Amino acid sequence: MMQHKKDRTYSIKINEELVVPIHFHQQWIYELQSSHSQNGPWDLWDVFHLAYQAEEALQVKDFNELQCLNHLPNLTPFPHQIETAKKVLNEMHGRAILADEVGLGKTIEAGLILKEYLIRGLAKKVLVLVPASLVLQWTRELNQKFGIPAVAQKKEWMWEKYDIIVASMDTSKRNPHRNHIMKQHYDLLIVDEAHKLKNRRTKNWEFINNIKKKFILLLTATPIQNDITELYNLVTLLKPGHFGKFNSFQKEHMKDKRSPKNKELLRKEIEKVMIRNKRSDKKIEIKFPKRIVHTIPIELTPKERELYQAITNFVKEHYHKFNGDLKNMFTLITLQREICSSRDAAFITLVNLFKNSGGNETLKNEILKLVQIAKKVELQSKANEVIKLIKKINDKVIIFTEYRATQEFLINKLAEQGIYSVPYRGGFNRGKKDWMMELFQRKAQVMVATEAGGEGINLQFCNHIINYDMPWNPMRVEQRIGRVHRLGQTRDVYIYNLSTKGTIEEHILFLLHEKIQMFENVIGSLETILEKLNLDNIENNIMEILINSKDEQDFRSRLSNIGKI
Amino acid sequence: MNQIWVRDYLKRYFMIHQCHFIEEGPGHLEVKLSVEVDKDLTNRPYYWTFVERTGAEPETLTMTFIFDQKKVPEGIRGEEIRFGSERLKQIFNSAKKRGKMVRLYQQPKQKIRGVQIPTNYYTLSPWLGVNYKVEFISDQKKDLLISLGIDLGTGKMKQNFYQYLKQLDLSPVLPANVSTLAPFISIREAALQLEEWIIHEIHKQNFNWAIEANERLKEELKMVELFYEIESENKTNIELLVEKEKRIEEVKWQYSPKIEVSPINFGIFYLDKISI
Repeated sequence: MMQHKKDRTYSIKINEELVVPIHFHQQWIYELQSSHSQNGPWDLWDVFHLAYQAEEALQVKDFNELQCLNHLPNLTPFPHQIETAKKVLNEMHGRAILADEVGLGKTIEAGLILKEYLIRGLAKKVLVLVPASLVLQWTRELNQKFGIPAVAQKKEWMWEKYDIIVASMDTSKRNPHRNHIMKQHYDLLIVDEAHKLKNRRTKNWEFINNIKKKFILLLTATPIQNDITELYNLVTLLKPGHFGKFNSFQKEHMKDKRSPKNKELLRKEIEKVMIRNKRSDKKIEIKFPKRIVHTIPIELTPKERELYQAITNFVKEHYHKFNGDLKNMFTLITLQREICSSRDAAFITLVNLFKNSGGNETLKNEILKLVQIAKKVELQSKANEVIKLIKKINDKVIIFTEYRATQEFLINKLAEQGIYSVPYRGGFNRGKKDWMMELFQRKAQVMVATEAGGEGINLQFCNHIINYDMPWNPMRVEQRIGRVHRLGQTRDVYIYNLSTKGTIEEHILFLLHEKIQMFENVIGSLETILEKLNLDNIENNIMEILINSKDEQDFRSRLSNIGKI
Repeated sequence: MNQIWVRDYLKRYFMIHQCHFIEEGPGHLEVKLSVEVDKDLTNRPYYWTFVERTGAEPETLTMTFIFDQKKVPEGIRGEEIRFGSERLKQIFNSAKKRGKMVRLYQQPKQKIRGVQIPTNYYTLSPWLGVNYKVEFISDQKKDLLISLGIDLGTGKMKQNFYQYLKQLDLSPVLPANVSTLAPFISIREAALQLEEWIIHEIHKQNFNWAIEANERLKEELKMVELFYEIESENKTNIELLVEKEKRIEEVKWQYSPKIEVSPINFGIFYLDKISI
């Protein structure tokens, strides 16, 4: 309720050092006087009862008990999430680092705490800072799961106009947004991926430090990546002085950069400001379904083998010739990848290459030869194998391919066998995407998808994935699996990787499977692994290796060395 | 607040506001809204401005609420409503807006122990009644609901006033052959007396919540002092002072105990002296 200038404030003296103000809202007196002297308007007695009952139902009867659990019809939180919310509210007083391992629901915990503060009227103005790619997802979750009217920040005027805003950290820290934010008082500030605040000398850290805030939650799965100082910096954002000054922190707690002096003592201090639930904790009731990986070896027919070899030789030969001509080099990489997927995918690229080769008659002839070889391929071993597999699975299956031509070819091929499948790709608009998802859930046995990323494809009702071809980028593989292997999936997830013998695909699979162990790792930890392996631009690395390898064995051994420093 | 409570509340809300029940089943309720409820719930101010400007015949919306999806017959679609859902919040707000302020008269009892009492005996005295919400706030929060009444003739006060009023037969119409006493105390004076009473009530409360919050406040202020004192060994500048002031403000904002008292609803009640 608005503070009115005619309101009255008393004080109650509790003891020698504590006086508590009591503020009486008095606007109602004027309203009643006015109605009384003018003979109305008056409200109905029946509605008077309804109003009182509403207040009674919303009354916060207790300082400590969570109210929000009664207000969340669309969510049943796990016990460790409820316990975490209670601890932050009652023991940490609204300033905490939420550092659960990936997949345990830090977002849910933050949502519970936010909801509780909103219900209690302790928060009104709220800012949620997240990586740009997560803004919409956060906004949607807060609205749908928590009934919190959060909006995604898009325009400059929104900072003042809306109470609960989700925004990207990178946008927010720059002007003019920064200036708007610095003018506000935020009852609650939530920062996701807070390990980006580990360095006190960065713009990020300084930005968060300067925002005026009552309560603050820092969310990160990796509170310490390298150095204990990082933790000191995070805690200083929450409570400057909690660890004292840096020198004394160093003296008391750090043996060197990476190891604490007295682990137990440091742990106790940290526990006052940080909660970290682990998957291995006994109290965790989330059961993550397993990933069960099958590699399906594919034997090429002699004609397919001939085409594969011809294309690979062509790529190798021209890669150096095109050196520096990025567009053509890229086409070659694409071609090499496409031929692992299907003849149809490579075919289109060959045709385009032909059209663009201008007056280069030698090149044109070479391409024509490849096209001739491609035309001779009648049977596609992979497709046949997939049809056998789908019939055996006899349940919903999602097939991922990188290429649209493969997608169309597969849908036709499946239809020939009486298997109903629907396409899914990035170019579809929202409505069509939703429609395809619904068809898949209700009618089709198979979805053939070219897009794994993007918002809103949750396919928990399906637990079989076929990787028809392999992306060279592990993040894309993880995105594919993540569509079905996520919170909400109750069954184990089966992943089938098609591996054509004696092709580059076999080696890629080896790299992803054996080296990165990507199919066994659960959601999210991949980033850390890739960072450790120093695999920044994996696609280009692979291509370099492929081109420069003398033979298959050389290629395999070079591939094994990826990531070794 | 279970589904029985929610359903009962909704039905009363719609009934009181003259909405028309179209269909009711064990799991659902379909209702055609009245004009005032439509304005409060459907969020279409432009439509209502249009109707008022042009005088067009208003068409209100029909809503179907689902209380238990399992008991809803095939083919019926609607919105699930439960405690905490946005729709119920909207209905609460509508009720709070429309149930704020009343003036009511106690109806004469027709019979006492079977004996007809002539109604012209009665004189009603005016009371001010207020339902208060008292909020105890630090970094935590608790509410207390207090209902008080005060006789505007004599200054006599009554606790649990609303609970008492609920037992009476009250009507917005002044009954025939009944007179009312003129108030002796102004509404404002009476309100101040009620506030005195509330302060008295608050005094009786346990103040550990405030004392504990104040302890946290002091402890963290100490921490801030120490931290910035040490920081300033390295660099003395105005920025650091500004940052320290900001941090002190934050700590006070977070922990400082305070109490807010606001009315839920209130009214003038003309009551029979004898019954009090």
